[in-house]
This record gives sequence, structure tokens and C-alpha cells, in this order.
Amino acid sequence: MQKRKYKFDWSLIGNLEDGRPNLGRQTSVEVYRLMMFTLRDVIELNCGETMTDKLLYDAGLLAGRMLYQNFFRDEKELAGLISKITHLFADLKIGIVRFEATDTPNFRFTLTVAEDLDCSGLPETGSGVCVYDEGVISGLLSEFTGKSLKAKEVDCWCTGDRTCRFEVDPA
Amino acid sequence: MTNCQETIFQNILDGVSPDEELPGEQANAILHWVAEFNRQLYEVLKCFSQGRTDTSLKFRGRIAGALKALQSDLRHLTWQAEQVAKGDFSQRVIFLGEFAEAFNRMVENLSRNKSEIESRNREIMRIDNELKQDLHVAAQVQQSFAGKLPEPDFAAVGVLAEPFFKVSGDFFSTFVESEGLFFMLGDASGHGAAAAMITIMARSFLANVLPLNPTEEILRRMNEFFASTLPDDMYMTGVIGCLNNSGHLRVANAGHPPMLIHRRARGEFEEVSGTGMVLGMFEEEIEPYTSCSIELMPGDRIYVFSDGLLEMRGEQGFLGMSGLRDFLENNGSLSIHENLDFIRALIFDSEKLSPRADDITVAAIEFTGRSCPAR
Repeated sequence: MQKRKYKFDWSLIGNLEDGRPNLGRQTSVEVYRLMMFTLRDVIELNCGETMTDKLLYDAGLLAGRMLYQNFFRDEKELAGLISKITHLFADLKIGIVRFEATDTPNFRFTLTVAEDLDCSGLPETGSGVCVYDEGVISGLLSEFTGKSLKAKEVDCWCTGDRTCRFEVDPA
Repeated sequence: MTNCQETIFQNILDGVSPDEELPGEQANAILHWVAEFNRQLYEVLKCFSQGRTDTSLKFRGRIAGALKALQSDLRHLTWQAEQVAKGDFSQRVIFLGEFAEAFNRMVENLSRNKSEIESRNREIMRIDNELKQDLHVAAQVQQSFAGKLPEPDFAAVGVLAEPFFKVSGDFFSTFVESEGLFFMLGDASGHGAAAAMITIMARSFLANVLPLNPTEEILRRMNEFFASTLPDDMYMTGVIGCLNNSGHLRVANAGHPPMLIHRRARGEFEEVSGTGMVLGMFEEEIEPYTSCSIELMPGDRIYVFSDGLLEMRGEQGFLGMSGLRDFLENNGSLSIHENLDFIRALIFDSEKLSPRADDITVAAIEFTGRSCPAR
């Protein structure tokens, strides 16, 4: 196993009060997208589209698991979890989350994210771009249910659908 | 449709007119898609107007996107309403303007109302528990006042007392004096704690006025006492008797159902009807209470009871006096205690009688005829 330089844990978010006393916790969507899509560009050049999608999905999956552990791990009820996700995603300006259907016994969920941080306002490319979001949603719900789940984006801003819709099923 | 046509079509949907005039063939193809778009748009809007959100527009662009956003909002609101229906009052709608404010206010009000109802229910439960404990103690006190039934040598006495709830507004008291066996069955208006307190007053009063008075004088004094002590809307009915060891029975009645005498040797019943006003309703200007005398033969039985027994309902109406007589006639060979056990079984027989709505007390006295000094 090679030595890890930045194995993620929540401390890597850093002490923002201490580190950014003047600029604070907020940045802009432009900065986020600049980082996301330049990173994607370079990875795609080096690893190809399929591997890029896999890497971004896995990164989202890790982010989802970390978000769950950091914000939601004490929540036992699905309704409570959904409420907290909705409010956190709005507070952090990630997107407006709306769960459309939940089938807890069969681990199936349908939700949408409007005004999504990753894609809303992007040019229509004809293919979904929210692979990182897929990973985040999978990580959150997998951690909560204790079962490996996979989210798939079925509608995306970039396919001309304006609202991103995700269907979650057992992996 | 070619890529060029699709771009022009998509621009039209997004409100952008073509830059140049289109050739007829291209214009026709685009018009065809515009018509198809309108057809699908109508179907989706029709479904939405009927409350169905399962249909989607198979197009892209601003209009289709806005409809999908609306569809997502409606589905999410449905899901949230389901959660509220299950009792989750933490649900809040965000980013939906006035609707969000109204929905959130409604859920907050529901939550507050539920909390208030739960708080009141807890208070009611606490009061209910206290009342039950108080009634339990009151029932014990009432039973201790009833005392043991006397066992004079010339008569057998039995009683069944079934309070409607814990304590009874009926009472049956017996005293053996030199004149014979005094007995009184009283029924205070209503039932429950207030009525039970009146019965305790009646028992105490009765103990104090015996054996100085004949039966009608006891009723007169009791009426005076209750008229001056009971609230205006409360009263008591009662029947009082004194049976001596020769079988001589003297009876007075204050607005109470008739006493029933079962002449078992002849298989006949006699009703000794009431003649006096209920106790405690009027202090003055009432007809004097009177008593009547009846001679009993050995084996004859006296039945006194509260109206709760006669008002039990069966398939053919109230049990009534005739129903009671039929019952006693059919069971005349049984002892009075066995008879009372059968009456108790009848009271609780849900197939024959509907649930009772009042206290029930039945007392039976059999003149056995043995002449011994009363104790």
C-alpha cells in the first residue's frame, strides 16, 4: 500500500474561523466550477472519460459518507434525514433538494436537485454531468441505510431537463 | 429531424425566432414538432390539473424544464404531506414563496395543537387517575358503611349491589330492633360520587332515628333532613319496611318502584305501590307519608330493588315489573341467595340485556316463620 498524502478526514476542511478571519466560509459558484471542471478536464485528458466519471463518482461517494458522518449520523428516521439534508444543502448552497418518492423497505428513492451547484446554467451537452452528485447521494443514503446504494442521474440540466433527477437503487 | 431543424425547433420553444426564412420542407417539419410539443404539453398540464404527477414531457428546454421543476415540487410536496400525516411535524417547505409560508404555518399550528392536546390529555389522565383512586377509597368507605347483613331467626336476608361505576347511588340498610327487622332501600338521583355521598348521609340518618319512629315518620324526618341539606336538583327515592317475627310487615314508600311480595305457596305476586313524594325535593306542603300493613306467611318473600333493574333493556323492551315477576316465578324454588345470583348473571348477560346505565341494587327477604326473639 503506497503512502497516503491526503487521506480525507473532516480536519482537512480546516479551521475556517482561524484561517479565513476576513473572507469567511463562503466562496463563489464560479470558483467551485472552475476547480471542478479544470480538474475534470485534466483527469479526462490523462485517464479518459470513463475513468474520470468513476473517479468523480468515488470522490462524491466519499464526500457523501463524510457528510453523513459529520452532520447526520445521529439521525435514525428517514424523514428526519431528508429534512436535514434538504436544509443543509440549501444552507451550504449546494442545491434545492426535493425527495419525490421513498421506498425504504426496498431501498429505492427518487429525488431532484434544482439550482444544482455542479450543473445549473451549464451549456446543454446532451449528457448528464452530475456524476459527483451521484456519488454524494449514494454515499449519504448508503451510510444511512447500511446498504450499498447507487444513485443514477436520469434528468440533468445539461440534457436540457433543467432539474436534475436521481433514482437510487441497491447497487 | 436534422440537427439544424432541432436547433431551430429548440430555439422556437425557448422563445427565439429563426434568423432567416425557412424553406417550406424545413418549416413543415418544425411545425409538426411544435404541434407534437403542444399536444404533449396539454396532456401533461391536464394531468397536473387533475392532481396526477406521473406524466412527463418528452422534450427539453425552458418550458419542459420548468414543468419538470413543477412536477418535482408537486411530488415532493406530496411526500412531505404524507410525512405530516404520519405525525412528522418537522417538515418545512423551502423556496416556494407564499405556498411555503402557508404550508409551514399550517404544520407549525398542527404541531402546536397536537402538543396542546397531548398536554391536556396528560392532565385529564392525571385527574382521571386521582378520581379513580378517590372513588376506590370512596367505594371502600361505602362498603364499610353497608356492614354485614343481619340473620334474624324469622327471616333470611340477601342483597346484590352492583354500582354502575365504583360507588353506588343506591343503598340497602338493615337494623334489627325490638320491633323487628327494619330495612330500607334508597336510590339517590343520578349515580357516582355525589349520589354515593347521599346514600352515606341516608344510612347515618337512618341509624340515628331508629327505633323511635314508625316507617312513615322515618320518611317524613328523612324528607325534612334532605330538603334542608341536598342541592335543589338532588333527591332520593326509597322504600322502608319493618318485618316482625309474626310475619307482620309495615311498609312506607317515597317515590320508589313498588315492593314485590312473592306468595310462593300460591304462586302469586303482590305489588305494594308507593304513596309518598320523593325525599328531599319539597320541605313543606306535601301529602303526609303513609304506611300499609301486610301479613306474610312462612315462605313468602319480599323483593325491593332500584329502578336500574327494571330499566334494563332486552330485545322486547324494558325488563320491567312483569319481566322481573316472570323471572322470579320461574326460579321460585331456589333460595333467595341463588335467586340473587341468577339476577346478577342476568344483569351481565349481554345476549339477553343491553349494558346497564345505572346502579342496580336488589334485596330479598324471606319470612321463614320461626318465631324467635329478634337480636
